[in-house]
Amino acid sequence: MQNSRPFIIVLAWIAGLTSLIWVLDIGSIKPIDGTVMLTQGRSCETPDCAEPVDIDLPLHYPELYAAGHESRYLSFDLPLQDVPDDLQALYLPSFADEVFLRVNGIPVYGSELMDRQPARMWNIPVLATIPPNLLKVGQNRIDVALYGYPQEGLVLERFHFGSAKVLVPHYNWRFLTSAGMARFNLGFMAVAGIMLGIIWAARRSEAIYAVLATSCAFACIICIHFGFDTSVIGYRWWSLIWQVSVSIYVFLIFRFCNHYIGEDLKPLENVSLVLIAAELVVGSLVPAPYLFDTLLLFKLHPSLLSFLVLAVLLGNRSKVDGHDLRIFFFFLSMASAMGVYELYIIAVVDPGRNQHIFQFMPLAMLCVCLWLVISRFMLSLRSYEELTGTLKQTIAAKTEELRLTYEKLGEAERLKAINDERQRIMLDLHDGIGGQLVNTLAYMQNNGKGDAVIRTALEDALRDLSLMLDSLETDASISTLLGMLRTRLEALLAEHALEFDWRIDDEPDLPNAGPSQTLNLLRIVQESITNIIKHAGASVITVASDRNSISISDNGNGFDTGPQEGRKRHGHGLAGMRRRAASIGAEFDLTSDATGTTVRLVWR
Amino acid sequence: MAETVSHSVLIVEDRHEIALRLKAAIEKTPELTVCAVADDVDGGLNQLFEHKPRIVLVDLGLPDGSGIEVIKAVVAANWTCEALVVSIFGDEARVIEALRAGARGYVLKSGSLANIGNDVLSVIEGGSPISPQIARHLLAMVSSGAAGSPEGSPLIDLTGRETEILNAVAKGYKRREIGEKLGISTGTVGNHINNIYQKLNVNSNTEAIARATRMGLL
Repeated sequence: MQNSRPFIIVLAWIAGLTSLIWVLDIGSIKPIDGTVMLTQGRSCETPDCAEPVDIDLPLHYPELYAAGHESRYLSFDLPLQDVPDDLQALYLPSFADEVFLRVNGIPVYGSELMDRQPARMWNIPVLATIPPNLLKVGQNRIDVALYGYPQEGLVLERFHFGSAKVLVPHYNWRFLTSAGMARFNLGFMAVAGIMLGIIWAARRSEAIYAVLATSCAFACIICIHFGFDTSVIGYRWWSLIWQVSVSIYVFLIFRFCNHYIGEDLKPLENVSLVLIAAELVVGSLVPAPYLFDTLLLFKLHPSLLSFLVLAVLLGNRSKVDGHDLRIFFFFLSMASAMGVYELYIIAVVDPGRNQHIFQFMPLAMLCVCLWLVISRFMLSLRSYEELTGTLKQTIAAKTEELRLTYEKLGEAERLKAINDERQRIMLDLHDGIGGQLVNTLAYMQNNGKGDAVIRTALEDALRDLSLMLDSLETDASISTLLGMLRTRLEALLAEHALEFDWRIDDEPDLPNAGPSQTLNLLRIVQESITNIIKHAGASVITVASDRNSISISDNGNGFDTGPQEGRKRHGHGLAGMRRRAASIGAEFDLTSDATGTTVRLVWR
Repeated sequence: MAETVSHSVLIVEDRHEIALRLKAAIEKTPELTVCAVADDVDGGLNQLFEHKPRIVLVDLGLPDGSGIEVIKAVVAANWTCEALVVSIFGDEARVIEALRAGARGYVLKSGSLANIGNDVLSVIEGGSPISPQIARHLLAMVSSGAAGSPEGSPLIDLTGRETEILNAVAKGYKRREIGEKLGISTGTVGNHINNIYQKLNVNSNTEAIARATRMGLL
């Protein structure tokens, strides 16, 4: 660590939290209304209470460097004015490790140790019910035999005698907050571990879930130690198992935290692993009488490590979302403080506090885990919703697109039907009337029959039909239609020694373009050209266009554009052209002088 | 020269008088002789294989079918033979279909037929007549392809110069005028137009026709 400041802050913070727990004096044993609290008795050398010595509760026998187990015998006097009618009970909130209770010589709870290992009941309160007929008026005697392990010392806290009805709720609460809590957390940790394991199985790439699942497994061992009698496994091995589990658990949390933050603290992790290995080896080899204190010494490691976890978290707070950091830091430091408090209770012979609270630690850790899972879940839910939103939008857009496409398709089909019909009519005009006209003309030419008037009329009809067919073309462009007009008239021009000066540039853009407008326009142009051929005596016909106009001019001898003269020369043609020009919204402009004539159509 | 080179021409035209006029017009050209006249698809195919002509003038609307069939037979012929469509107006969309089938161009049968002999000779020399409307059609095919048809590729792929020439043709300019405008010879303009025809022909597979039909071009 480059900076020790977070570590110091964490130390102070944990010290503060631990002090707070201390001040709260959780589980302190106080008199219960309507019951008797037994605080004074005698310590004896034998079950029958030979050589009694007066004692005060709580009683903490010194911790001894000795293997095996020890037994202690205590005797208490209970004076009664009268014998109660209802069920009575003895409620022992805290002791170590096993009790055997007798009232007036009759066993009411447990049994004599004989050659058993003492049951590990140090975190499990006892409620021994006493039938009223066991009691008598005057002095009653309560014999308490304590069995336990010398390295941790035997303990008897103050206990209560009274109506079972009154004592049961107190017992229940005590049980719930000690062994009950540990058992509850065992179930929780098991479920969480299995769930995390399943998640890890589904997402092998995310080793973090494996770390968490493993930590849950070790938390389960800790829960078992705080919730159950583990004497079947044997004092030595179980002590080793649960104590090493604490070290491994804290190590795994350290790893998880580093991974979560993205901090690489491999060297420290390795040191921690070495310490765990050492704890295992030393714990297995150390002589039995020194096992407990040796393992206790090794608890410095997880304690420091848990501070380190917090310090790392604090030092990297910028990397973690503020919300996550607060939740993490709070619960992790609670767990750490509980560990320190537990260490204190275990290590000090007479700690002045009798309730273990380390069984709450997995709950705190579970909160962290749940928070993590929920926060990730919320995150994926949010992105899922965003995705769904986007998808919905896309679907809506695509649906709209589809609808438009269908509409277009319908429109296209309608247009196609119109187009097909138009094509059919055009084909009929083309092959039918067109063919007839051409054939008739051919007949006249082949046979030299028919007069010039009929021939001209047929040729005019053919040209007009051409114009009509052209203007009906679906994608007709005026410049192309002018081009077609030129192609057809070219031969006629050649016959009259005329030629075109073709100046079609920009595509003429009629205001209301349509087949009939186009046809009218082409008729004006065609008529202007045929007029020139017939009357002008010109050699060049200039056809020019731009976006807003078309002009047809010749280099012929011109004519008087006055109505009289014009009519004489052009019949009703000029008036017709003017009318057509007006119908397509174009100005018709005719100028003529000795150098030629110009017809100009202008529109805007 | 007229003696050594004489090209035979088959006319497939159902209207008798027109056929006669065509025959007369063709035979005014010394280099050309009319080997036969048929008035339907069957007759046209029979005469085609009997006379193996150099040029076939074919009308499209025939009593027993479309002249396109004759054009396809011409394309498949194992001797040098080219088909020209005889059209009344030279503008119908069917002409494009004929060009896709392999016709080298069209000749107008309306109006004066004075130039028809020259038209046929120019085809024999490698030229391809083209009308403004056909040019417009070809341009539409290019742009409709470029305007993002789902298949991506244009129906025909033209060079800038070819597009320029087609644009001018579509406005009614003659080859000579186009050559003057672009500063190239009339022959070069003709070569460009031949290339365009070739591209049209190369792409004239079923798929392309199907696409063009779908787009309402044919």
